Formats: sequence, C-alpha cells, structure tokens
Amino acid sequence: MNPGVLAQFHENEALVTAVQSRSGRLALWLIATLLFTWHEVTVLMPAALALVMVFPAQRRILLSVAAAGTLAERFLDIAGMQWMFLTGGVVAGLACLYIAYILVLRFPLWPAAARRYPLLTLHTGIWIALLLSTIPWLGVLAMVPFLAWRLSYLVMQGSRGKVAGTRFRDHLFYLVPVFGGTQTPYGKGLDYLTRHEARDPGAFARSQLAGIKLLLLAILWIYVREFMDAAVFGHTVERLTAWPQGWTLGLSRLAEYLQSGVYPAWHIGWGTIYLELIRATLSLAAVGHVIVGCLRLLGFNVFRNTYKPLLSESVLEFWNRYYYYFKELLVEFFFYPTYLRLRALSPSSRMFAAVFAAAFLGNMYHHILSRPDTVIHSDFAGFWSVWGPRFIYCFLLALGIGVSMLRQQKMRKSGSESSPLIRVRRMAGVWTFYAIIHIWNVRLENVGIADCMRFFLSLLGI
Amino acid sequence: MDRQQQRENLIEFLNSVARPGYRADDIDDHSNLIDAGIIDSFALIQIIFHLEQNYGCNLQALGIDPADLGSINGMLTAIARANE
Repeated sequence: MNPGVLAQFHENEALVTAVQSRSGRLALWLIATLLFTWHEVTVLMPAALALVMVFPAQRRILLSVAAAGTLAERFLDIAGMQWMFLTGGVVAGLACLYIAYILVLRFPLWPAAARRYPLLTLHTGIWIALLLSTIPWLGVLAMVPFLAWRLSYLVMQGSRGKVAGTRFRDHLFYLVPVFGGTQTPYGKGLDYLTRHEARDPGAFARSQLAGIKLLLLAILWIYVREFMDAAVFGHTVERLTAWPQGWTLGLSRLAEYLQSGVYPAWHIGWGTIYLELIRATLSLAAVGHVIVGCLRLLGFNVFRNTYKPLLSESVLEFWNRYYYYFKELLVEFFFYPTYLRLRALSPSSRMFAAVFAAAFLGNMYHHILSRPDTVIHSDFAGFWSVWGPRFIYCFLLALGIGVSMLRQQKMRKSGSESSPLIRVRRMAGVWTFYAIIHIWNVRLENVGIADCMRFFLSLLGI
Repeated sequence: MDRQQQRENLIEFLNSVARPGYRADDIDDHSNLIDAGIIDSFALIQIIFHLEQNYGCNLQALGIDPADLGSINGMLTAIARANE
C-alpha cells in the first residue's frame, strides 16, 4: 500500500463509514483504550469515551459529569484517600467553578474598572487565591494555576457578551477536562471548541480517526526520543529496553554541561544544542498529540499543538507550529489587547510592542504563574535565581519574533518564490536561532544567566 | 462603496496576506479563514491594520473581538459598524 495513503487513513471514506457501524465503533473504542493504557491516560477517559460514543448528542453533559471525577482524581493526589476531604473538595471545587460561571454571566453588572480590565481583575483574584492557599486548610487553592487560563477564556468570552445563553455544562467540560491536560488549555475555550465540534456521525468518525492517528504518532515520537536518549546520550530508557548497553555516542545533555560547568569542544557543543532542540520538539509533540488526540476522540477536531516545526522557514512560523495553544494564549491575552490599545504608535513600533507583550511579558508571566511559590515564598534574589535565564530566553524570543514578523511582511509584499536551497538555508537559520536561545530555557537549580552565557561563548571557541 | 465592492476589495487584500498556495476567492463568507488554513493568526494583525487604515475601524471602540474578524462576513460587519 502507498505509505501516503496509510498515513492519511483518517481521511479514508471507507474507513470513516466502517467506524460508524456498531462493530466499527467497538473496535475503535478498544484501540483507543489500548492506546490510552500505553500513554497512561487517566482511567476515566475510556469510560467517558464509551459514553460519548453511545450518546454523542449528550457529549457536554457527559464530559461535565466526568469533570467531577477528574476533580476527585486531582484531590486524591493532594489529600490521598481521605473520603470526607475528597467529597468536600469536589463539591467545593464545583461550587467555586459555578460561582465563577455566574459571575461571568453577570459581566455587565461588574464595576466599570473591572469591566474595562476583565483579565487583570481575574488574575488579581487568582493571586489572592494563591496567597490564601498558604493557609493549610485552603491548600486546595494551589490548583488555581491549572484553571487560570481556562477561566481567562471564560472571562474573555463573557466580556464579549458570548456567555449569555450558555449553560454551566457548556463550560465545565473544558475548565476541568476529563483527560487531565496541562496549565495551557489545549482547545482554548468554548468558542473554539464549538467551532470544531463534530455535528454528525461522519464528522465524529473522521475526528476520532484523526485522534487515533495522533495517539499513534505520539508513540512513534516517544520511541524516537528514547532512541536518541539511548544511542546518543547513553541514558537508560523506559520503553526501548532492547537497546544494547554500550552502543552509544556517549554525549552529555545540555543540562549536564550547564550543571557541571565543564563544556565540550565547540563542534560537540553545537551538536548538543541542535539535538536538544530536536529532543524538546519530540517531547512536546508527544505530549500535545496525546491531549489533542483525546479531544479529537471526544469529537472536537481541533488543530494539532505541534505541526512539523522543524520544517519552518522563519522564526515566526516555528513559534506558530511548535506550541500552537500556548502561542494562541499569548496572542489572544497579550498580543491583541496591546496592539489594539496602541493605535498612536507607528505600525512597526506597535507590532514590536505587541510582540514583546506576548512573547516576553506574557511568556514570563505564564511560567511564573506555574511556580507561584517563587513569588510568595522567595525574596528577589531567590526569584531571580529561578527566573533569570528564562528572562533572557523570553527577551531573545520576542526580539527574534519581532524581527521575523517585519521580514515576513516585506517578503509577502515582494511575493517572490524561493529556491529549495534558500528554503533549506532558512530552516537552518531557524534551527540555529531556537537551538541557541534554548540554552537559557533549561530550567535548573543553581544554573544562572552567567553559566548559560559561558556555555554560549564556548560554542564560539571563547 | 457598497457591500459587494467592499467584499471584492477584501478578497483581493486577503489573497495578498494568505499563506503560500492558498486563496480566499472561493471561501464561504461565514467560514473561518484561520480554521480553513488560508491565513494564520498573525495575518489577522494585518487585517486589523487594513481595516483601521482603509475603513476607519477602531475595534476597541467598537467592542469587536479580533477573533470575529476570522471570516469575510465578520470583516464586512466590522466595516458596516464603523460606518454607522
């Protein structure tokens, strides 16, 4: 069979028809469940999927019920098997989310200042909740960072008058997704999910097959990464256990060089940073494919999170393809608001300011929100020791994206075609840019800006 | 300028910011151009700038969400509201 046809199996009409039959649906559920087990996805997911496949029209209600189970799982991690705490935590969690929904529903009644800056209002509330989480019996509020950006999508939608007419269940399923997820909301908010929700059996089948494809691709990328770890770095790996011991290039990871302070020869250093970029891309793609795969299996045929970023021909394109939902979050909550407010600036300055608001400020803030302890429990020196390198990373990233955006605009105007050689050269440039700035993105205790800088200079033979 | 003429001008502009190999000529007015892969979310910035410069649309003042400019119909609605 043609490999191209095999890779596009999710668009095969015969297969799409087949998985709509009773036996086809059962087979698809069994395959999905096997893949969930391989990826160690929560045990709730196969049950939720089965119910959604039997009652697709009740998808949101079913996923909202599953949200209670997901909350229970999260509280189980925090509190263990303390039933009173577990039940109380789930009820309190659902009550808090319901209150948040009601507050957003009544957005027109908010004070004028809060209506003018709805996200600032929300995030002030989030930081108050995080401060309160230091009180022992309010420790569950430590879950707030996970909800922060999901609530931001809800509030943003409320501020645009789009929550009126929706029900709590229309929001609960993405606020607490059954598959778990990360602090970055894959699939964004209700608006985006609704646009991509399967409305008929054919669309549902196509979405599910596309989900299976992503779960399979995630396995492939995990094996490629493990192959790299074993064959290049000589690390013991979890899944590729058949790899013969000692068959390795024996290179060190970037983190190991940074921590030891002993740097390799310049050519090995360059090899290390390119390999580190490839490894980071494989890791992110695998995680994103599992999450988006789950969404697609549930009938939300959303974009992939990572889509061939290593083939990007510009810094901007890589940012768009590498971590789509994080980029969308930054664009929506930082880029657009800044761009729309700064009408008085020249077009280039306005764009640069918006890029810095998103890729620098927003990016920093997102990561700081994931470690609120570094703000609440640290002095400035402690805070800087954790975030200093990332500060440089975000600054360089914003600078690169800003320049790339201007170049893209100029290239669009000229409209010239590029030869394959030029395209390869551009890709090499993109790899080099991201590989270099990634040096400041390796989050390690006791590794500061100066250590990263010294490693960078070692690449130049200095 | 009537709506049909505005639409034609918009299509011409959209083709200039579309991703290589894509065109906006045949797309339905209500389809989302980003979801259809014709433009990316950064091309939306160029669309906002185009609407500001050529049609006097101040999105913030009009309370229009940039995401609503994802379709041709959304853009035409923004122009109509700016002219009200």
